[in-house]
Amino acid sequence: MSRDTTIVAIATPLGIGGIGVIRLSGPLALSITQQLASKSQFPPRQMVHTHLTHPQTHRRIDDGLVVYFKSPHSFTGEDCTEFHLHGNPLVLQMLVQATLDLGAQLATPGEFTKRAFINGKLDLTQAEAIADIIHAENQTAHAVALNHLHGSLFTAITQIRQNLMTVLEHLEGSIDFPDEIDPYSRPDLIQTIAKAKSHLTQIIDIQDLGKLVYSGIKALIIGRPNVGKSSLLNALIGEEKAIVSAIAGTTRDIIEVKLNLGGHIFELIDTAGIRKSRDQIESKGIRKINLHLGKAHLIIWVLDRSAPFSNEDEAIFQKIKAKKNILLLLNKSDKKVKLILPPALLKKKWPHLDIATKSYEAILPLKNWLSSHVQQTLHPHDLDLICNVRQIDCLKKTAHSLAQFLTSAQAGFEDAILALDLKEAILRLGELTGAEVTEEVLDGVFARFCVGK
Amino acid sequence: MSAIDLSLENHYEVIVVGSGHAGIEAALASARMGRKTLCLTLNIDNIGLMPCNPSIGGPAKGQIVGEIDALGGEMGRAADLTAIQTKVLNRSRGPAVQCLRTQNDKREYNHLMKKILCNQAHLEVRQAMIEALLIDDTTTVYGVVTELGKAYLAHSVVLTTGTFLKGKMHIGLNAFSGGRVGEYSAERLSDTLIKHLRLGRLKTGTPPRLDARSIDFAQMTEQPGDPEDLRFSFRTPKSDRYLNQIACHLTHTTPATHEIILSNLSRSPMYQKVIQGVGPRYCPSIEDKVVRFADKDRHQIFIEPEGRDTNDMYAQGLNTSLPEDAQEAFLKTMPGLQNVKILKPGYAVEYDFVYPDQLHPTLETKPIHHLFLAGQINGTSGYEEAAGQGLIAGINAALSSQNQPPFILTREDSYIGTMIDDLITKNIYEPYRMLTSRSEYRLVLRQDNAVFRLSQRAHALGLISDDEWTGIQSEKRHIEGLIVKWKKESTPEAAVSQFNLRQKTLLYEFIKRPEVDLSALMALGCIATEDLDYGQRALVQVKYEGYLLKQEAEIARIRHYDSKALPENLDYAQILGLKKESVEKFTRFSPKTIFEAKRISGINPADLMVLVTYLEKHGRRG
Repeated sequence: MSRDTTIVAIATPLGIGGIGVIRLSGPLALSITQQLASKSQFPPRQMVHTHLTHPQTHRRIDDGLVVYFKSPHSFTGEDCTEFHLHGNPLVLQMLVQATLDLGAQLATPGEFTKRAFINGKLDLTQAEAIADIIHAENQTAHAVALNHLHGSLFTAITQIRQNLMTVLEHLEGSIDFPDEIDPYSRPDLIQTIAKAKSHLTQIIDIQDLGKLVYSGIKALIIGRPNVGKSSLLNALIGEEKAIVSAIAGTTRDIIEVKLNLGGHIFELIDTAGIRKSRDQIESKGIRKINLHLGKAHLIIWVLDRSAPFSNEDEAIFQKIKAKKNILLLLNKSDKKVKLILPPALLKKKWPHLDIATKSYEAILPLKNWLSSHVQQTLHPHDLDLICNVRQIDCLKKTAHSLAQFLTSAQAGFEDAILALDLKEAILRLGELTGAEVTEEVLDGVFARFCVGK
Repeated sequence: MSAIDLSLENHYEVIVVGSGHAGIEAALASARMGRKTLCLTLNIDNIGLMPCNPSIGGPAKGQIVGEIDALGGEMGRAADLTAIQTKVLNRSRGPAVQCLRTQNDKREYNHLMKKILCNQAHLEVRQAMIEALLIDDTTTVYGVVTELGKAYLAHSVVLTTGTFLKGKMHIGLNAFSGGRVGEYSAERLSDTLIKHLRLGRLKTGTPPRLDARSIDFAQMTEQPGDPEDLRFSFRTPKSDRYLNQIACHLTHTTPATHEIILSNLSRSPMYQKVIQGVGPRYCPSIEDKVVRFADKDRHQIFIEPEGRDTNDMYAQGLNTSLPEDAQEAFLKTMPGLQNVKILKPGYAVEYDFVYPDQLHPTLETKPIHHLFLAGQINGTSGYEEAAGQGLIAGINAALSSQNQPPFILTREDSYIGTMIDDLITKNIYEPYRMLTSRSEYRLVLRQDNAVFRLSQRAHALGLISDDEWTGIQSEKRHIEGLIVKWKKESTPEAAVSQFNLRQKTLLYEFIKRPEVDLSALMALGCIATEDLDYGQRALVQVKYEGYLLKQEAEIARIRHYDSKALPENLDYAQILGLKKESVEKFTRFSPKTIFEAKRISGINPADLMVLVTYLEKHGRRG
């Protein structure tokens, strides 16, 4: 056990709570804290209010209270920092990720307790059952991991592991029984592993809410001029005090606003309006919209209910008709209805909401819709994994070993070397599913191949 | 039993019971360390007999032979000198798993081993059947008693009884006691052991031996050896033996073979549950193969000569305990064997073994002090596995007789250490065979670097001579010198065009390219002829540097942890958090290091964690 490392973990229960606490312990605790914080002085045992920003990506994470405990006067006896942030798991994960990027490691189950114990911070007379505790933590680690992986995700990971295991069995079998088991053909080998890796990467991408965390859920607000986009935005901003940031867009046409709705961060992108125009600046803006259209998780199309469907509206429809996740926001519903939607649009059966952006109360249906939309689009698995940085870490390490495997395979390294990378990949996945590798490989070899001279 | 003769000439420092592959290495190691040693054998003419396949080495086994050799053992040298075919396996699969396998002349091997044993200083060899162990009231063994009532006394006793403990042979539904065809089994020794140790039952088998004159080799595929001088031992001088190799031959079973086997299962002791012992999955009987892999319409069979001057042919792949007439019938359905004559039928043998979790890493039993076990008695199979254990048991029996600290190999330094660690910590339920995949560190544990890993310690024990050790050191310097040179020198111009390099580069970097091998370096004039012997080993270190560093770092981490010393009079009851049973176990075995503590069965990681934690606290205060 190395105590030169700095470890990090979310200390508060998983899920969306009022506040969330992250604990950082080890020699780098103070320097990581200073790199993240807008302040540099952290007198021991004093709460310091500060902004927290990822120093590499310059992304604002949150603002909160930070306490520094100087060794040995901390829970673990080491230099320690506690971050008290908003309870949003996305925010907490973002901070954990930032500390990892700055050199911290994820704590293993019970590691804080172990360090505290080693450093004499736990009273031994009270620690009679420490062995059982440590033991239990080790045992439950796998169980916990398994509980978090369920349904289709668990099946997918198990399937990948099984595929890798099948390859490893063949590799190992053909090395230990060269007279009886033919080697795996190299092109097949590369193809099989590349496939497993891309499958894994896909899962990581789905799971990697870190990306969503940094940018929020991108919701693009579009609509022709004067349909009420700006007032819509103002209504949202004015109502919601938890604005993370409001940044002017790179062109005068686009405004980006981040806000927190029900624990989820939304990045609302207000486009100044799509208009058929030869104006150069505007077409630049339109190109930008096209770009955002590609990246948006959600498109909110604002239409004026009190005006007929125009050519400009038709142009917008043509632009987005192939997209998914579109919400029709029928504004000015307090006025006389003149809007008649064309049949092609109606056929899309896009969800729609009637609102009147002039009143704050009237915007409530939109907020509710956005919250529930998040619950629906983010699978329950994803929400589980938000709390489970460790699992994502395992998946990434597995993917890394597989990448190493492919690099070595391309470079012409032999099967015995490739088997090392593959075994490591399976070990990493095993941290999720909990299984011994060596015996399993041998069982597989003996079950699948007729060896024995 | 007649009165025990306790006269002084019957006193030894070490007694080794058995003279198979384990017994040989145990007896030689002990005698070579200067201990007065007695080797007792059931049959003095059967020293170093190869009762099963006529070959030594192969994956993992070859590495073990290299390690035995690096530790001053005899197996590698004897295999080199009696080889009738040599072959490198896994040549294209990476340096870690490349290994040598020899086909050997069984009679020659057995004669050579007898000669070496019977001429070894400090070693006496006698023919005797051991019936009991002499154990005092502190549960310490102090000698053995023969079936004729003669006692031999010693400080340490090494048992290497192979398949002879209550050995029971099966051919068809006929069963008779015996450890090998035509030999007695040791019936009563088990009864002594079972008073102190848990015993289990295992099964192994051997195929029929065929008469070469009745085989049509033209219908088979020839399997020649490699046309080069290959050696296990660094002490074997170069020779041209390789010019005179004998080929093996490959044939296969047919659907007709399978039909005959299936129709005879009613006469199989395995399938009629007459045999209770568990057989190895990696060495199934042909009956098992046909039943379990019913979709395969053929299984390959290697016909291997048992020597130069014999017609005995070993039918590798045909382990069987079917009745002799069934064996003959199915053999005749295979290409080249239509007219085959059986010299000896195949048979299965069941025998007692000691569950090896009752052993220390020195191979001394925990319940009976000064009693060491090696080979099949510990649940392993294979000549090499037996010899490796024999060596360790012999060394430790000798050290123990002088009250010297034990000699322990670990997973991190050797295959032998990995095997022993598996034996004492894992649950053994089938004959254990070494496989490269059992090692976490196989890139580091290569056959080519065994002397660098192990010989220094063997030299300290007196098992490697000063001259040999000097030679090994100079080899090492030579290899290191080459690498240093490569780190300084650049590739010649010719390499740039030939290998499509952008510019001249350091040889060290150039060598890492997959297409660069020793012959490429030679062609470019980058390696001198006198360096060729070292070139390959230096090349491996450069090419696999990244992977090697990774494994070495992991090894260093584990060694650091394992080497933590535990104070001798540590009061475990005072350590809060330890389970009561663990306190008892630690107190009983009083481990000297975390490594030893880790190997006490029933000790879990949590107990170790508490112990390490306690030590760290303790160390800081002290």
